[in-house]
Amino acid sequence: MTEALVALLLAVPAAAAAALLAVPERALEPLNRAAALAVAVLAAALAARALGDVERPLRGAWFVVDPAGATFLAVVAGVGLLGALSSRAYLAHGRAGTPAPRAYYAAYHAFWAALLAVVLADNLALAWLLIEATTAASALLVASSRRSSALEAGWKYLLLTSLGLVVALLGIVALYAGLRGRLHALDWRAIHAAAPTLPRHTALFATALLLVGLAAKIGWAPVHNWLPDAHS
Amino acid sequence: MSAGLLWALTTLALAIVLVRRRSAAIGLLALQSLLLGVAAATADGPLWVAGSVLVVRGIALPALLAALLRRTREPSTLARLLLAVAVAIAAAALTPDLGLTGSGSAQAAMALVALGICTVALRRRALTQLVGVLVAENGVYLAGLAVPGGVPIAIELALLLDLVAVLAVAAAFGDLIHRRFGTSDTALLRGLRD
Repeated sequence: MTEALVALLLAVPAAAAAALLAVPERALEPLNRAAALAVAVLAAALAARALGDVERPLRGAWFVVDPAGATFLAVVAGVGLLGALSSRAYLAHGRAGTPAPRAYYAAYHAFWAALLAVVLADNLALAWLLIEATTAASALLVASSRRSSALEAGWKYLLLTSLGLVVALLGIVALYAGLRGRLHALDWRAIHAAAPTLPRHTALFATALLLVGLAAKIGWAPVHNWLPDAHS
Repeated sequence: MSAGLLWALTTLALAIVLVRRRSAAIGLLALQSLLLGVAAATADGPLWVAGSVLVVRGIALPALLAALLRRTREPSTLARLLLAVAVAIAAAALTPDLGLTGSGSAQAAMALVALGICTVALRRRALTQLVGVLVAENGVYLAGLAVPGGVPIAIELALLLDLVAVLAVAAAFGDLIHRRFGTSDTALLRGLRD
């Protein structure tokens, strides 16, 4: 049941992103709404299941939904739903540089799918890959607005967050080398279990790189300077 | 006013027509203004007037021009070299031994990442900045190669796929920038300041 729910939750926005590229122009908005509502319902069901029994997180082959994950899942789904529902008004405001609806909707749902997957991933390396996927999708989203300032904001965003993610990845490689394990050595629980055996310098180095790298991605000062531009 | 001074002033003006580099032109202008200022100081008249003219024309105005220039230009090759070397050495020095194979591979990987960041920060062409990101990425790959037992193939392939996706997006961007501005010089993207 949980496996199916998770699979559906990610398949709906991913399939919607692909379908939005193909359907006729007038079907864009209805499809966007239908997919967004479906995602929100699925996410709410999954979050409710996970929060129903906080002692035993839902686990699958590659995902985990613990109380913190369920909370984030609900936030991502809720904000995503609001964004999807207000898209029509945004696209219709008619100012110069409004994005092309098709590209905008497709990038939006691709971005949403990646973001939902990030909070589900039970593995540090997998989470990193998904975060990188959100970067590519959201850079497209920023650039889909056809203004020069959006181009600038998108480029800055892409460069800074890519570099941040590269730094974080070096942190993950350092951690992996310290753990001396297999792919599953980077599962959250495995990292937690192996933490006491990590060499101190390696742990500090990896933590610093992960912190700095992901700080750039989330727009933490002092590596925040893409954020006001991308949001304006 | 000596003939030598007059010739010097004229020659400097001629040189300004010829030099390619804007910094050289500013330097020649400063030199010319200084010569004039010295001539004014040795002429009759209150010394403080000549002095303030000298300071403003010979120092303040060229400094202003130079500041303007610096805002629209990447740092000089020497400045870039010094800065990049300092950053790379600092990054390598701060890197502990991570238990990778080969001594110094962790430090080299970190230096590559630092140099990639320097490239993005100090260069202005979109393409060159992109090259910087890839240099940093190569640093991570180097670290991955040196992990004893290697990195899982799944991670390696996913990384590659990822790299292609980001590069494709970046290429689309570079193309847009080029078409919009007729150049890929990102310094033209200066509409937004925070």
